Amino acid sequence: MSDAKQTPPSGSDSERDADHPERIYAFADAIEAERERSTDSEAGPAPRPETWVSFEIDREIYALPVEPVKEVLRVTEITRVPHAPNPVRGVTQLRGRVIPVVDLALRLGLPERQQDQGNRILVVGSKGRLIGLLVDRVHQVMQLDRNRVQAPPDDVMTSRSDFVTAVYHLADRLILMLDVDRVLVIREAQDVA
Amino acid sequence: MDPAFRELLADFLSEGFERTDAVEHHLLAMPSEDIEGRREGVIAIKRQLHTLKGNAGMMGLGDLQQLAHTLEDRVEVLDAEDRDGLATGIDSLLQGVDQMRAHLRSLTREETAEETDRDSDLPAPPDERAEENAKDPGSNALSQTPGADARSKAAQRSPAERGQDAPSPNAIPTSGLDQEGDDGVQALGFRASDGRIRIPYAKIDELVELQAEALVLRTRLAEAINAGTDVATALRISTLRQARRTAGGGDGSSSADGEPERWENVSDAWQALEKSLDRMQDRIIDLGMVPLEGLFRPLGRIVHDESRREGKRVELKVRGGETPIDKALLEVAGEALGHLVRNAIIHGIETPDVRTARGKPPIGAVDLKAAVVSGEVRIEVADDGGGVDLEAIERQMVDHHPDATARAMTPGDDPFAVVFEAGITSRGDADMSAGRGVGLSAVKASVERVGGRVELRSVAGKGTSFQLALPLTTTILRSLLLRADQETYALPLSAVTESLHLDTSALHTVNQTGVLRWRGRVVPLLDLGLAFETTDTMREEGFAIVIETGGRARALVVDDIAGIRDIVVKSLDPIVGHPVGISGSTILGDGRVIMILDPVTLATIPSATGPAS
Repeated sequence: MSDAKQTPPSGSDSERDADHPERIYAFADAIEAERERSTDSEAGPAPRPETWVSFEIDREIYALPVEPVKEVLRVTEITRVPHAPNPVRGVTQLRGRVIPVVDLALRLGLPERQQDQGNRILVVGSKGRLIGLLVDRVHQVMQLDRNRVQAPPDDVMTSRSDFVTAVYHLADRLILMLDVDRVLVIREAQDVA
Repeated sequence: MDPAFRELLADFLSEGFERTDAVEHHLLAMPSEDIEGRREGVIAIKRQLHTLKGNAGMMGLGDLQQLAHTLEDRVEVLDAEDRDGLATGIDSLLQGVDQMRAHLRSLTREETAEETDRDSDLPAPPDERAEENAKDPGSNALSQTPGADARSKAAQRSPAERGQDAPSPNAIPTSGLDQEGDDGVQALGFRASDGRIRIPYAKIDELVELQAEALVLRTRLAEAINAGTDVATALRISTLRQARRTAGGGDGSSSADGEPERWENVSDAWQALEKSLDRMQDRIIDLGMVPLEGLFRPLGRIVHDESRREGKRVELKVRGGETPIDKALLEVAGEALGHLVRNAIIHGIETPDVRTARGKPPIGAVDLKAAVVSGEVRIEVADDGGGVDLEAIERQMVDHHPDATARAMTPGDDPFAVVFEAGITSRGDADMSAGRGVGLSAVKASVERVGGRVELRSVAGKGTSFQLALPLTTTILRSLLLRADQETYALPLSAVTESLHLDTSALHTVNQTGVLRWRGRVVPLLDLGLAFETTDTMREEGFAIVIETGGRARALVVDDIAGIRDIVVKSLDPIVGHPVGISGSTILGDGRVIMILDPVTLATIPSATGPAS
């Protein structure tokens, strides 16, 4: 659906990114600023653009609302949890809190793929929980216009329809919009690695 | 529901439970009181019910108000002069107490359900505990649903007792409230899961002070670190030191460039901060502690109900109610105590005529003692009954385990250990309360799961004593750090029996399972790397850690033992499932996250084939 040319931070970009840790903080600041902005404008006129974070998995673009995204982390040491369900890569710690790291690709039913330097963990918080979602790379914080949000087409989504609630048409590409609570739901019959 | 009202309702419920408990307490004390004491008891009960009635009315809870009113009217039955009349009166009022609890509980459910709706936490993980309870045939009439309306309750009583149940149960209004689905613990009358705890202001003040102190120390530490770069500060500190040294007449050997001094300051500040944080941690752990008393109170009711059902006379003596316990352990401790006390009455204490024939006083004694001993909460449940008939149990062992010869008792084994095995009972006729032989093994398993122990001592003819040991806190766990295939794990020390060098001459293969010959016993080997799929061959050198839990022994095979630590337990998000052999995680000093092993489920992992040799 998207080719390499359209993907802004390419592999080489993220390698440079690794040399410049401040970028990741700049990104976190951007999220922070957006969040403040969106809360400030709460009382304003109703149809305001929504702020989402876009990221890439298996050459496709996904997005989550900015609100639950607390932080973006580099992939550091992840401790494996034996006998955990397959999408769970393990656990890592964030300022003294142990958080699970879930491979979002596996969670969405996509094939396992090579890890690289550009991989990031989106830390999402919902209902008192804090969970890391491993994605290929993080793109940007963007304003989405509700009018261009559409229901997901049936054909593309079979395995992901549980998580993708809508699609967003950008000029020449499609962004798959995820529902964070559906991603974090605990299923009883999870595949065990 | 309006949040302000919900808050009010929560307070009302909490107080309502307390008043109901108080009424029950007075009722249970009634038979052993003299006339004067009884009169005071009646007054106290009336006062509690009256206040409850008034508060219920204010909250607009008509049903509850009506129930309290009816009970208040019926307190007069306690004026009965004869023993039987009094017992009957107490029983009928206790039924009312049960209904009151059922009402309060169903209101609590509504209140918390709403709370969950509003700021719901997780897509609720299945309540396994409740399931366990439901499956546990050892739990009795008391732990059934409080939907226990008077009818089913009466139906479950022994014929002897039913004869005394004179007043019609229907005299107390029952309401159409939802009264189903409840767990045994709540039915025991204590509420571990209402999510609230009362904390005296003084404790909070203390914490605030400690936190303020930590903040000051943080600043001091930051300044000490910065001092090296901040010349002015460095000079000032250096000058001060110099002045002090001159004044104190100390030696001037310390270097003049400020650097060692700077580190001295850093180290001082750091040590002070660490001490302050340790104190703060102690206080915070303390906040999670509650006195055991709350668990002991419902036991009075169990003793009353069970002894009447069994046609026995039993007196419960309680000491050490002030002993603190981690509130996270209330549920486990409550279930265990309920079970042990019930067990003492049903299996231990004899009927009055048997006791008289044996030259014992007709009233049996159940003694409950609690204290903190060497970092553990120890609770003893002792009875002066018939003791454990080891011979009868051994006969059953042979019946239940045709292969029993294979695990025949060896010298040094605890002869009473078999009592905790599933399927063993000293009672010929299993009934609904006890005697199915599942209870004690379940108690042992749940106690060991939280890092505790249960032991039994018994003298035939004299009595039985159960010793329950629980960790003082669940947030900190004394653990053995183990290494296998570059992974580090924490194993709760409470499960460890012995750790030894792996000696190939002690390794054998029996039925394709690797075993360790240890102290005359044969213990299955469990290679930690194989269990967790970090290797595919069993290691032949390293260490073997013998763990004994839930009646099973396993020898964990690891590369290395990395020491003993007090670790802070961090639970795992439910998204990781319930991995077999893992109970949680912890963070080591270097920031690494490691898994905490769960001895109970670990022992269920099948041991792989033995060493290749």
